[in-house]
Amino acid sequence: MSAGGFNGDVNSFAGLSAIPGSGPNAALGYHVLKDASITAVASSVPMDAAAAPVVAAVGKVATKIPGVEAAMAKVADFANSLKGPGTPGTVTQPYGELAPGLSGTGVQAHHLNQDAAYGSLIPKDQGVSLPMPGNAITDVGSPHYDAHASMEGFWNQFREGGAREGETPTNAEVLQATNKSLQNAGVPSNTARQATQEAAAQQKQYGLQPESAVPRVPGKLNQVQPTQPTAPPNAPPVPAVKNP
Amino acid sequence: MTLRPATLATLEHFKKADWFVRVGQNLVDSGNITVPITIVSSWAEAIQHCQDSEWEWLLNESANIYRERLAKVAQKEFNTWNEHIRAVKEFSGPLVKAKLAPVQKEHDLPPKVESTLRWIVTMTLTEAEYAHITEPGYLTKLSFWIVNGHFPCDWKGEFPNGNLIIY
Repeated sequence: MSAGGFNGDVNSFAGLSAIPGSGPNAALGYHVLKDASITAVASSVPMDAAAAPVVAAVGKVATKIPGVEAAMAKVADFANSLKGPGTPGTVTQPYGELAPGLSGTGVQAHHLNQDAAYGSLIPKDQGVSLPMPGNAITDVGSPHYDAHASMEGFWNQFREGGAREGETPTNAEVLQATNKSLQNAGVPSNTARQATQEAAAQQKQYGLQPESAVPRVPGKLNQVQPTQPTAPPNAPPVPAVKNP
Repeated sequence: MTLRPATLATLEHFKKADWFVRVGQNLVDSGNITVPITIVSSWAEAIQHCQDSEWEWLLNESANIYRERLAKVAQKEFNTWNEHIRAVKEFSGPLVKAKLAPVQKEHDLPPKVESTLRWIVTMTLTEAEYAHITEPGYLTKLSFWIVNGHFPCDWKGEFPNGNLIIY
């Protein structure tokens, strides 16, 4: 049979006949992955009792409202206070160090090298992260939600029906999208830039080259969609727009 | 970019096959397949299934698993993935559209049916491009059902346990 020949036997399709154990029942090794950055992390690390209410309040108000940058700065200050000795001059922390201290605050650790894309290449707990107010799936308009919404727009290009359907981005393209997503979430541009540089350094540390293709495109996050404003029951009908 | 012989052969099988001729019918020849199969009986059911987010997840994850395997054994070759994808899409897109046209006209199918088939066929052809490096993945196996006149449209249960749903 010629290469890729097909005679009705499933194993012969596209040259599969030559491959032992590659029939339709061969284990795929399917992984049910969960985006670590949206998973609540149980903490055994006691939080500074005085700081906790401040952070919780920031988490509640840090939506797309005036003053969001100030709120983000407070979160960053708090994150720095958690760092202890840490690494001088960095704005990010390893997820495993940051997440426990944020438990119950309404702020979550946000992986910059998204775990759903890089989880098999960069250990989850080592992934450089920023504290982000809100739940990435449910807290519509929160910084964490907005950062992921921005990344979802990027990844959608590569998913079924996207403009670059089936393709994969390079590591450099992902970093560019990450920088944009942080700014879309209200992170000051200089902080976003530095955080992205730290994510790039981590990629390099794990042998990932900027021009290399990224194997994994994360599955859809299925974020809660913003509700459309509805007219009150007795509101007058909206006049039709003519010749817009 | 010129397609490899294995890819051209696979493309020929897709072209020669009579798509959708066995939709809703019981399996005539299931070969050595032992995976549990559930057959749905109408396009309406098939459409509902193929819009399931779990199916979309499975199709995406299957591509991820294949690409991870390929990148692990041949990162340099994997870096040309997009060139191969773009090359095969010149054929897979028009092929799916042409094969789907008769049933599309009759059943007014949503775009999701076309994009599902395009994803499976595109990935199958791209996996054939790399067949000299690593074995094809699960999406190639799903193509078996397309060339046998069915429409694979969902999976129920936690993979790899569970049922493949086909029309």
